[in-house]
Amino acid sequence: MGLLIKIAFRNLLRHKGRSLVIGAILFAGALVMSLGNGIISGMEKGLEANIIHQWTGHLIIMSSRQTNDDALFSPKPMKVIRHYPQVETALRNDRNVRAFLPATKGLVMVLNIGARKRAAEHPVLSMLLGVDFQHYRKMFNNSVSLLEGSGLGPDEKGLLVNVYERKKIYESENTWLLPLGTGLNRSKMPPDALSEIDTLETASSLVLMGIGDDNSALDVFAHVKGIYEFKALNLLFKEINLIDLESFRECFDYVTRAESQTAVSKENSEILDATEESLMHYFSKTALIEGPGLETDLGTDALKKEVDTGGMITATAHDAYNLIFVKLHHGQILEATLHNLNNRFQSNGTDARAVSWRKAIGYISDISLLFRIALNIFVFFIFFVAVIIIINTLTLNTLERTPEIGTMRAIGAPKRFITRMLILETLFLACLFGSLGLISGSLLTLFLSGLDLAASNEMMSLAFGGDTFCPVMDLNGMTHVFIQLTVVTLMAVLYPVHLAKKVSPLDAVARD
Amino acid sequence: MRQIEITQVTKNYRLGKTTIQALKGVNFTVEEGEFLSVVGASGSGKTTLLNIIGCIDAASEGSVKIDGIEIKRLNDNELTDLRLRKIGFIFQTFNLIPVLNVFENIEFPLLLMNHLPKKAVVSRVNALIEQVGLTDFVRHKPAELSGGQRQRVAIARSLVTNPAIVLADEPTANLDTETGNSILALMKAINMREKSTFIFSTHDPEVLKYADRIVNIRDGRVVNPEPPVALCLDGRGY
Ligand SMILES: Nc1ncnc2c1ncn2[C@@H]1O[C@H](COP(=O)(O)OP(=O)(O)OP(=O)(O)O)[C@@H](O)[C@H]1O
Ligand SMILES: [Mg+2]
Repeated sequence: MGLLIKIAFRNLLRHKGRSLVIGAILFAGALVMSLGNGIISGMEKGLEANIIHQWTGHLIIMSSRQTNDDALFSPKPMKVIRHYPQVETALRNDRNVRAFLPATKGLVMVLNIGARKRAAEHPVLSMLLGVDFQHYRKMFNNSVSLLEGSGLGPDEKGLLVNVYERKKIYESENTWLLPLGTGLNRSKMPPDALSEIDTLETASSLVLMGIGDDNSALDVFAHVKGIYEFKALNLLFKEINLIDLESFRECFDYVTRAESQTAVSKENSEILDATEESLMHYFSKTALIEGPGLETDLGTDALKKEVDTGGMITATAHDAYNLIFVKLHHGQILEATLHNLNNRFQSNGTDARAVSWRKAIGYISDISLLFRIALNIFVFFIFFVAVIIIINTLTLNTLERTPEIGTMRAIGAPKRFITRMLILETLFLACLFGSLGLISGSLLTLFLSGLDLAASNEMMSLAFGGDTFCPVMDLNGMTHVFIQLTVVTLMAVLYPVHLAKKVSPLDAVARD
Repeated sequence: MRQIEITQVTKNYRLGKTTIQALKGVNFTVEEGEFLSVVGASGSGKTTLLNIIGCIDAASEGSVKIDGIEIKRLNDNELTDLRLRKIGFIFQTFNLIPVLNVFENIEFPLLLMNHLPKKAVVSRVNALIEQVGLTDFVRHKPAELSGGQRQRVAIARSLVTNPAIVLADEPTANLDTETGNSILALMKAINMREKSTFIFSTHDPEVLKYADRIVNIRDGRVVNPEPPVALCLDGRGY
């Protein structure tokens, strides 16, 4: 072995130019690969942290009748969790659970914007997340930043509209949503809206109708109380609008028979008190969506009747949730906790099942996968070029050394000696220049993450996985690059070694 | 004792559609410790014959036995091992390993043998360096040596494993007459001392005087399988 190392090493020194060409390629390859890996890992980590901490928690619990995992972004109606109290007990008793927040999620159709009744042909659909806003803020580390208006106080009813949603509504309906009791804030307005500011139509309320899976939805009037955005990755969650739980339940008709008999709660009378004229206007005209099949089961008539007769809207079911966000103490116990909870739900016959955040966000988790695939294609391309150049150089090297190799064979060196010698030469270059590239790439990664580059737009923040560019280089990433390098080296050395193996001892005898 | 036994050996080279018969049924034997010269005109088949004896080329037909072993029965690994342990090569073009110095070039075959005690290796190599008179050039690389010095390194390398047979195809062809003479004298001296069999081919009548026996080869055939040495030295048949 000492002999092999000596020969290999001296041959490298003897052909310095050639060694440097191969070395430079390996260096550049390792550098690009480690940097790319760092960027992708940073993005994945950033996305994960931001999504878990500010958006989903580690686990999502939904009804076991909910067949799709990707509940958070799917337009599919959500089933109510039938046994919420049991689920709550289970969560309270689970040591791994740090916090949980029950919520409701559903798709609604916007029937009225302000006092204006919408035409039914082009429905505006919005995603609503019903939460206790105060609890929501606590659960998700103040992930929501209010741009205009206010949040929702305890037991306060109202709607918080995402900036994107406001823009969407403006673009399709030409109406600018303003939180109740606020004026126009020019700095937040798009140029289009600014240019027609004098004639701009504004509204501070919406009439929403839930799209449930049993057609038993009701129309609900809601005040816009604030315009908000998620502090990180708003682009991903732009569809989401926050609403108080009461309004949501009314909107989706989450009532029980027994409750419908009970007297109206304080909040329900408040909503009636708080209504603008437009509400009465709306109800008295029985604005219905004109459309086949929808008219019959909407329940709007019943509601109208109750309002007309001065009766009360039904009380909503207090334990009606269709979604629970669960945060754990840390991410490593995710799988185990998921398993435990699901086992427990199943054996107790509880109508609930837990899915991981990754599954719950569905296609959004594929974004990082896409980035990774793109990187891998890029890396593959670099690989390809590197391997070709190295094969070329090494082949030339082998051909040139044919008499030398032949001599070694003639005086008694076995084939494996020759192959080892050539592999060792390349391996040495790979180790030296590859690790230099790896180290430089890692340092560059560290340097870049130290710069705290801020994302200047939302696409960038998506690519960064957060607000700052934070590539990471960890042992995992380094191992990854190391394996890639090894593969390149082995592939590059395969053909030249095959050639060298075919050199016969007869080649020692020089012949032209 | 018969060390090499060659019977009806032919060697055909295929060149496109035609076949060239380089050896056309060669028969002869070599005794242990002989100092033998193969002579013949250019293209007569000397190199081909030495390559076959040295197990770096295979005969097309016929039998080659070394120490009673039929070499065509051996696989590549066994042939390699045979070359390493039984045969030493001296090439016309010296064929030293460029990146190794004199000492390391000579040491090379011993290191291939593995598991030899380091001390034994060093003393064996040094002894040979002394025998070939290169004590002052131990750390020199081949590129820093003259042709004669290189061939001395090659001789030392071929002998370092104490092989039974040393083959040299025109060892002096790239050297001037004087140096060639000294190389042959050196080989002869080692032949006397180490009792290795030497077979060398040559064009050069000058170095023939060192041979114990001459095998004359003409057009792929041995023409005087066992000629008396005196005949050659007379210059007849040559
Ligand atoms: N690899 C080969 N392919 C084809 N023909 C070959 C090959 N090697 C040798 N020959 C032919 O075989 C014959 C014998 O060649 P060989 O090299 O053995 O002669 P030689 O006696 O060593 O000649 P020289 O004294 O010039 O070295 C020649 O006719 C040569 O052309
Ligand atoms: Mg020849």
